[in-house]
This record gives sequence, C-alpha cells and structure tokens, in this order.
Amino acid sequence: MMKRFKHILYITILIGLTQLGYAETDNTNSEPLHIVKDKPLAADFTLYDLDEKLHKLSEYRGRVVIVNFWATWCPPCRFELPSMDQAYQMLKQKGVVMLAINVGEDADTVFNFTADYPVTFPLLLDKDAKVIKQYPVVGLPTSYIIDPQGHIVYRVIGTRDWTDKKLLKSILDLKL
Amino acid sequence: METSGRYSRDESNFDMKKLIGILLLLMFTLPAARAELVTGTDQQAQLPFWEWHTPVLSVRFVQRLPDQSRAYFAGRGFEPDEVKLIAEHCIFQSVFKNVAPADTKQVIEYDLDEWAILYKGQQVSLKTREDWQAIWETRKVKPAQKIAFEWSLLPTRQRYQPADYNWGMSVFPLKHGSLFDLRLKWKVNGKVQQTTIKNMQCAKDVYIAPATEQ
Repeated sequence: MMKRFKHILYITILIGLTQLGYAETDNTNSEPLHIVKDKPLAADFTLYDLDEKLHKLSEYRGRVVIVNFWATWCPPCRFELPSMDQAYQMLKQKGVVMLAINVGEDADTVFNFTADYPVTFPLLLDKDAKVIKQYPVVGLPTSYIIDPQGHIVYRVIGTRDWTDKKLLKSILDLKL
Repeated sequence: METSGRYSRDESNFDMKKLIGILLLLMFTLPAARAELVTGTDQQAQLPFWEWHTPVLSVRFVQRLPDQSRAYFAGRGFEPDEVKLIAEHCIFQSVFKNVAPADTKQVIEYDLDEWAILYKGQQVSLKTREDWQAIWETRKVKPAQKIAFEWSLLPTRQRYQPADYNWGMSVFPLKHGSLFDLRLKWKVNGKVQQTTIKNMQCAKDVYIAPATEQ
C-alpha cells in the first residue's frame, strides 16, 4: 500500500515538474528570420526618399538589402524603428543597405513623424502602394532580406529585435 | 487467502499500470491542449480585452471606442460621411501572433471568412478588407484613403511562422454595446483548430462632454 502511494507520489511530482517546466518555457524565438522558399528574385522598384533622393533596388546588387514596409500609424512599425536604427549603425559599416518603405502616406506626414522617431536610414515613399503590391505583403510591418544577387532570402512578419546577435549574423552571413 | 491476496496484487498491478498510463497520457497531452481565455482591461488602451492563447497561438481583441475610430479615420483623410459609416460598426484592435518556440516549426494559418460572429442566434461574418474595398469603390473613395483603410485592417488571410504577428482592426457588423460570441478557426501545420470566445462586447458609444468653464 505504502509502495503504491510512493509510486503515485513520484508520478504526481513528475507531472508537476513537467507542467512547471512547460510554464517556464521560454517562448522567445531564437531563430528570428524565416527562410523564404525558392528565394525568388526581389521585384525591382524605384522610389524617392524624404530627401528626394531616388533609390533603385537593382542598383544595390552586390550588397545585402533589408526592405521594410511600414506606416506611421502602425504601432508595431513604430516600435521596431529604434532597434532597426541601432542595427543599421552596425550594418551600414559592413555595406548592408536598409530601406524602410512607407506605405500610402505623403512626405509631410512622414517628415513630421521623424521628429518623434528619428532614424538614419532612408525612408522611401510608396504613396500609391504600387511597390508593396509587388511583394507578398498582407500586413504591416513586413520585412525582407535580399541577398547580394537580388534574391529574397528571409522574411519577417511583425517586429523583431534587429539588434539580436543571431539575426545580425544571419544577415551578415549573406555577404559571403 | 493466498489466492485472494494474489488476485488483489494483480488488480493492484493492473490499476497501477492503468494509472501510470493515464498519467503519462495526461503528461504529454496537457501541455499541447493547454489553452485559455484571458479577459480584463488592456493596460495601454484602458479598455476591455479578450485574449485566447495556446502554446502556439495568441489572439487578442481590444475594444475600440467609436470616437477613436472617428478620430483615426478622419485623420486618414476620410470624408465625414465615410467616417460616420465606419464608426457605426463595432471595431476591435486585434493582435494575432504565432507564439510557438522557433524549434517547433509550427505554422499557423487563418482565414477571417471562416470565422463567425454568433449574435442573437444568428451567424454573421466579419467585414473584411475585401468587403470594404467593394464599399469604397461604390462610394468613389480616394486611393489614399482606400490604401490607409486596407492596411489598417487585420489581414483577411495570413500565414505565420514562429514569432510572426500582425496588428490590425477587425470590424464586426454589430451595434455599439452588442454582446456576442466569436468562433475562431485556424490551422496549425494544416490541422484545423477552433474555439469560441463567449460574451465579447462591442464598445459603447461613449460621449465625453467637454469640461464646462467655471
């Protein structure tokens, strides 16, 4: 009887620990970039930034390019801008290009927005949302990492901590 | 006595095996099945929310006041008539997330057209981007406003890998203050799952009068 009680006790403790272990599971993701199947060629585009400088994606061939689709009214987009900028400070020294494409807003709106969210990478204007329609984006923010050959290698839906070491390594490894 | 004792021991062993079996089964199935509804007041919005989450998925609906929608869409350049039309609907801010650990490779898909609002014994669909697109076409709404509206709504269909998520408004064709149930459906690695969130409530059209001068 005592032996049976002990068995039940051990099993109960085991289950308790399993459940506790589950509850304590760290759900943060250690693989923040998702590989895009078949690595399609990124659709080329030509867009002006806030300084009226023209950016043509294909002219960045030979360099890794991060393309981020965003809008000023989108809370997660705003949330990730500071970490994108921090990452950009590190990545630009390695030749990585970062282009944040604003969807559907005018230059004044975006310019005013930068007073609260200053960033050093170019903010491009896709006012009529033609460029975003060339990409398989269905929600903002969405980002793509394009390799030096112009292929979309990684995709992110939502935000990430762009200063995450593993994420930065995945991007820099594309240069090889 | 001996016989009886042996039988008794056998029964005890049988019970023990059965018990271990059940416990092991529970041990492995409980975490997977663990799902719960959390409700309360959203810290940022200071409005009620309903959040369904499992080890893989989290979907949260936060009430939006009609006035918030009026201000938001007026700010996006919509005409007063269109702002009025939008704000007549019951709108929630929604956040859909894949919260599975990365190494599990669990992919979630959903289609809003498969969700159902259960209201007074009737089944109603959410008003998606495509439904609104048709409305804006007939009302000849300008492209800038159509773009703003489209991207402000939760995507109609989406596929999330671990850590992916979207925010967006979901529009329910119900009157302010309505009580309803929401049946959600989604797939995890192709396997259909569903739940019903009971007793959700649309925000009431609260009018806050300006302070009178003393």
